[in-house]
Amino acid sequence: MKIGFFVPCYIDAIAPQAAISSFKLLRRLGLDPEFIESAACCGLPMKDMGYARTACKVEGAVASHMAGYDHIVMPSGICADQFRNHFEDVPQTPEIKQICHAAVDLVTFLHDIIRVDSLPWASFPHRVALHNGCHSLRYLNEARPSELMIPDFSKAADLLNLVDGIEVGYATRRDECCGFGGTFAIWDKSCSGQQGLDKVNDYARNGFRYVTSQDMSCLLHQSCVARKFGLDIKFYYIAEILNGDAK
Amino acid sequence: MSRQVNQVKLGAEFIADTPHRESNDRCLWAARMRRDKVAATLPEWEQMRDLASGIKEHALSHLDEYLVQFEENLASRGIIVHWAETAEDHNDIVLDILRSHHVATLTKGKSMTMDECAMREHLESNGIEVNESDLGERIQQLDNQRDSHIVMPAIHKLRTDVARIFAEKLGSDPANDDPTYLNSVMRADMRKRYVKAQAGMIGCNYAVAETGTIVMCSNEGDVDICATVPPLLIVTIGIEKVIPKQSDLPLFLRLLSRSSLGYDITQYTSHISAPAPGQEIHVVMLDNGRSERLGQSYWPVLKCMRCGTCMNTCPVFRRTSGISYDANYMGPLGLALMPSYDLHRYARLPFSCTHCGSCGDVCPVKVPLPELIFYWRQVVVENQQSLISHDLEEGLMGAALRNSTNLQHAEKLGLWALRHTPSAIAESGINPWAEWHSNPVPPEQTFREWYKDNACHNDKKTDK
Amino acid sequence: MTPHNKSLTARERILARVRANRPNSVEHPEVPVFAIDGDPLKDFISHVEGFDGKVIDVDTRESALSWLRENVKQSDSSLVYSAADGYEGNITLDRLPSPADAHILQACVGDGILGIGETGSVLVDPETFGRMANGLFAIDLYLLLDRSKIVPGLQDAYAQMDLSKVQYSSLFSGPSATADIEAVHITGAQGPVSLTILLY
Repeated sequence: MKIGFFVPCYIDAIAPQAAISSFKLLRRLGLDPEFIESAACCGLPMKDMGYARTACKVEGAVASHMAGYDHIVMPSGICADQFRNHFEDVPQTPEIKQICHAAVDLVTFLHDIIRVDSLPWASFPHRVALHNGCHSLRYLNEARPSELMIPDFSKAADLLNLVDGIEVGYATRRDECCGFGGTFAIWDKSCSGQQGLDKVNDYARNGFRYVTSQDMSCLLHQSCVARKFGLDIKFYYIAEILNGDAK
Repeated sequence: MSRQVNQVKLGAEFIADTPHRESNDRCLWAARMRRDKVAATLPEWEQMRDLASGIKEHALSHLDEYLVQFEENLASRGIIVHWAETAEDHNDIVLDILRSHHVATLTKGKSMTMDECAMREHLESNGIEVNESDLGERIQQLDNQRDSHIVMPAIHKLRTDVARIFAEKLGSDPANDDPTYLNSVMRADMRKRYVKAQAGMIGCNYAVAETGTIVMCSNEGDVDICATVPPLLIVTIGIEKVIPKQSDLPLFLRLLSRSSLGYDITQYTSHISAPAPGQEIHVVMLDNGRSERLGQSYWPVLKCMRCGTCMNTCPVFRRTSGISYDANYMGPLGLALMPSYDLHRYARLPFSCTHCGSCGDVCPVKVPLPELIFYWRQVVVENQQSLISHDLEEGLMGAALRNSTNLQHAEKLGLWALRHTPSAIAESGINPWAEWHSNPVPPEQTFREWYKDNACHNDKKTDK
Repeated sequence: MTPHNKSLTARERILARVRANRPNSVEHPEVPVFAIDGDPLKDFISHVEGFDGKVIDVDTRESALSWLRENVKQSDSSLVYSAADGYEGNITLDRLPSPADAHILQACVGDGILGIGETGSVLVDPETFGRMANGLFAIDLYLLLDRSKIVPGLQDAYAQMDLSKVQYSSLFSGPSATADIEAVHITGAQGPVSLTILLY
């Protein structure tokens, strides 16, 4: 099993710990991930804004570095969604299709592909709110969206529940979007900000001091809003807890 | 060219108005929660969504046949059917009917399709008194404002707003803002108007082709009064409202009110198949672009049955209100539909979305709203790219250059922004967070730096 | 391909465009009749009450009529129209020449056609009230309903109807209501303020 490790651009620069914990965790699980150092951005922001032609160039560029892996693990639900569901501006060659199929969010990889069933090194004796990022939730099917009347499941919660001492909970509006939305945060800062504030206030009202998610982009947004409004909440990317790095 | 709607700007004004924002969000979220609760009681919920979507797709892919069948059935019972290609044609047809019957005053049930034609304004400017009979719609009429929601037109207003409007326009007690009192003011005022009305006008929720039946779903009783009390009735029906069979109807009814308001059914579900003795019924079948939309890749938007649940669930809509969309159809539906009416005017709408996907998952007929919103973003960029990027550039530059602290942070963010926003924007540099966010804590090293220092030396295989 | 031939009527042009633009044909799916769990009668009562209606549960139609005689007040200022056999109102249709005249009614009494457990709805038509307007303008509405006419769900109800044969019919589910002001639920919008269902 040849495993590639893709580090999204925003994680590399602003939240490297998410990638570091993910990378270490994969090794600790006995795998041999290969960091795809030359790959840059998946093209999501351009795609998100409707710039199909720019997205096409970026998609083509990143794809040129990603062939030949059975799985390309990435610590980011939004990027995995981009590869799996929206990577449609480049010509759909067999190679591109293979890359899109190989691309996988860390949580899906751990839960569905290597089926992690114990994390003996991890302990987090705290109540933590799980924020299932919208893309992971509704486009990658990592949990049951509250809108759908189907049996309940949550892959991220399953993984977190392997951690010693943890108590996983949710905000009252458990699936409410936190308002990051990629370029939306720039385009409509008032609404994005208000959504973020409502989200972190929801955690605070429920007495959460820790929040985790499989989507670091949501957490970056939420943590910056929480700090701006003086809320004492710590935000950890899920791998930081699963690898025992979160304290 | 039409003035472009700036939903972000209008939305920001509503967001800043805390009491209104909180009330709008609370009311609509409560509807979403009721919807979840009642939907969960039906094990067949998801199967019904699939079936309803399938029936709508079938109906739209055979629309010409069902339209003819519907028309023939209505005509056979003496209902007069008109066809309107455009909003203007619709309004002309309606005005002609009313004039030929010497109608000076009428009562009208809520109809987004008539609103789409700006019919009320057209009739009023031609000297006909139009009394909206739905409470929310009446409030909006008296306040001279568009609806903020297709099912709850005045849901963005507070009771104090309604008390002020009713005091001003209907002479009620300005100090009494009890909703029960305000409802009684409406009831008393409308009773007088129903008695005088020479015509009634209504919209239609479902048009059953097989039986030739107009189906209306409502709560206040006003629609049925409009439909049965005056001697003349005019019904406007968008051509996409046709469903094939009577047996399809209960499936849609089981989904409609549960999705919309979280109740098992509307108080009134009414069927008209023929005029009452002494009554004359005219039906106006409205196209207004629908037949063209049918041939476009975004045709699934025509499946929409106007329940409004996408608005209730939309996190942007709840915080910015339907008023901020300045459009006949607002919220996720508006984003997916309005650009097809006027691409320039509504070019910004498709960007008022975080792509959370909730609207697609609540839609009872599975309109792929998130995909359609994505689609329109691309169309907007292809057609009028400058509208978007110029604004962004301006905002980005302005924020970044405001002070040196911001500029320094912008450099750090620039690393991120440069890699991940279109070049025209990224190159300008910015800290758009400042108003709502603290800046991210800059890490000691990037992942790449960490990898070089640590991981790649630990293992031969990664040490290329 | 957009037909713009001016000699065609609007109808012909619309239908031609629809025909030209039809999406690929999609089959009409088979719709099963979904079973509704529970007791239709109990469901019916709880849904009527959930919609702020009242249910009077009696043994026979005669008892229902007696209940009406005892409880519905009739006077010059309380005009009651009845279309129900065996219960007389104090106003008849000849004193209500036009439908709008029904606005003077305090109450209206009629026979429901069928009831639905799933929603607490009662099917009515103009015959139920002598005229639809009577059932819409009366402040208090009384509907007699034979409990054997209660079906489990909406699908069952529509299986018993033939909409092509009705002039007008309606499912009434509770008295009229609105929540248009701050989503505050108010019973008694523009139609009846109260709905009493006499089950026999």
